Order: sequence, then structure tokens, then C-alpha cells
Amino acid sequence: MDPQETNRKMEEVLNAMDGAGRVAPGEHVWDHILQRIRTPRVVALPRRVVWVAAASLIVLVSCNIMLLHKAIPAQHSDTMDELVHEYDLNNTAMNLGI
Amino acid sequence: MLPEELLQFIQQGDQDAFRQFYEFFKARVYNTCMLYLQHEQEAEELTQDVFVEVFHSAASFKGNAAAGTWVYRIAVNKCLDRLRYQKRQKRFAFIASLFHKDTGALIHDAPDFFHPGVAMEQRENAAILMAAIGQLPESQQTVFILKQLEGLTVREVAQIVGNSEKGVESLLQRAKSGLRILLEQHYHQTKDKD
Repeated sequence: MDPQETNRKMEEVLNAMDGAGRVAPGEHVWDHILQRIRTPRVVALPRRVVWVAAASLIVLVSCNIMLLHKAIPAQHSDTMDELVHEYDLNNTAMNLGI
Repeated sequence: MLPEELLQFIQQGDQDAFRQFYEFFKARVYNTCMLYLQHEQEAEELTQDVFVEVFHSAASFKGNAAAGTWVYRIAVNKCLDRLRYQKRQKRFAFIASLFHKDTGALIHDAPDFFHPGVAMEQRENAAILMAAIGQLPESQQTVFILKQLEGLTVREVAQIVGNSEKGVESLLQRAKSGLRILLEQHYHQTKDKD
């Protein structure tokens, strides 16, 4: 196909929709619309919102678990410190003969 | 009654006003959906979605633009959403095809679409044009469909897409040159096949 022929063909294609008539949808479309507007509307959350909420919940739970794990050894060492301190006091008292 | 006036009645749930509104815009909405989706059944489904949305959000119509512009905007947004969804499905099908040979057929690969409103002798050319339009970027596709195929004015298109009139004209020029390139490629490919 020579370039002129290609150009002519292209013009034909570009103008192929000129004068194309608008087509109306079938009557059943209106029936479906009517049915849909008569049934109560269920408002669904967008999927993205659900995902973000789920991710936030997971992060929150993970953070809590991490904090909890951090808190328990700290409490434990506090108790140990107290015990050692008490032992020292007792020991000192015994040495002093109190 | 004007469509803008009908919308005020639709806000109050008036179904007769809604029917009149539907009759006024049904062909435009259906045609726009068909030009985007190139599938009659899907265009019908989306037409339903558009009018259900019109009914439920009639209250949000502020009257800054014509009712037609508002309806077109809803239709264009819904069409673009559906096209994006189809693209995602297609991508997923491609990934799935890497793992499952039997079920990995690419879905939504539109076959040649024959617009029912096109004259018989123009159907083949129209199908080539529609296939090329489907390959344009979203913004160019929208402007070309609304201006060239739906016959809206540049001003109306600008209001629908939320762009300036100059912006629309520039997008239209780019769409046309993009189509020329795509059609040229198409003819080179068919020439090579022959």
C-alpha cells in the first residue's frame, strides 16, 4: 500500500463514526433502574478504607504487643533490684549486729 | 420541563420526573458508555449505574453547570473506573497465567466491536477506529469521544473534564495525531501480513 493510499484509508477510518446515530438502551434497562432505586440502598465502605482500617489495626496490635514485651522485663528487673537492695540492707544490718 | 428543573423533583424522590430525565439522557449516556467500553451489555449495566447515581445524588447538583454536563461527568467517571478495573483484571489474569496454564486466559480482550449506530458499509472502519481509540491515554480518549464522537462543544467538554478550553483543544490534537500513528502502525502490520 503506497503512502497516499494509507493516508486515504486513515482519513476514511477517522471519519468512520461521522453520522453514526445514537442508539437507545433496551426497555429492560429502565426496569432494572427502577428496581434498584426502590430497594433500600446499602452503603458499603470503599475497599481502600477497609484495607487501611485493617492495616492500622494490625499495626496497633503489633505495637501493643511490643510494648508489653518491653514492659515485662523492666518490671522483672525492678523486682530483682528491690530484692538485691533488701538483701544488702539485711546483710548490713546483720554485720552491724542489729 | 428543563432537566435542571426535573432534578429538583428527583431530589424529592419523584419517579415521574426521574423517568422524564432518563428519557432525555438515556441515549447520550448509553452511547458514551458504549464508546468507552465497546461492549453493549456492559454499556447497559453502566447506564443503570449512572442513572441510579443520578437518582441518589440529585441533591448534590448545585446548578453551576448544565444538567447534561453533570450527567456526562458521572458517566465518564464511571466508564473510566470500569476501564481501570478491567485493566487491573487483565493484569491479574496475566500474572495468573504465569502460574496456571489452563486458567490463564486473558479476560476482557475486546473483540472487534461493531457499533450498532454505524452504517453497514462503515462498520469495518469504525471497528478499526474503536480499537485505536481504546489504546489512547485516558484524557485523550475522553476528549476524543466527547468532542468528535458525541459532538459536544469544546466548552462543554472542558466543563465535563474540568480542564480549560485550550487544554481540551490540545488534548484533542494529541489524540488525533496519536490515532494517526496507531492507524499507520495498523496498516503496516496488515501490509506485512499480506
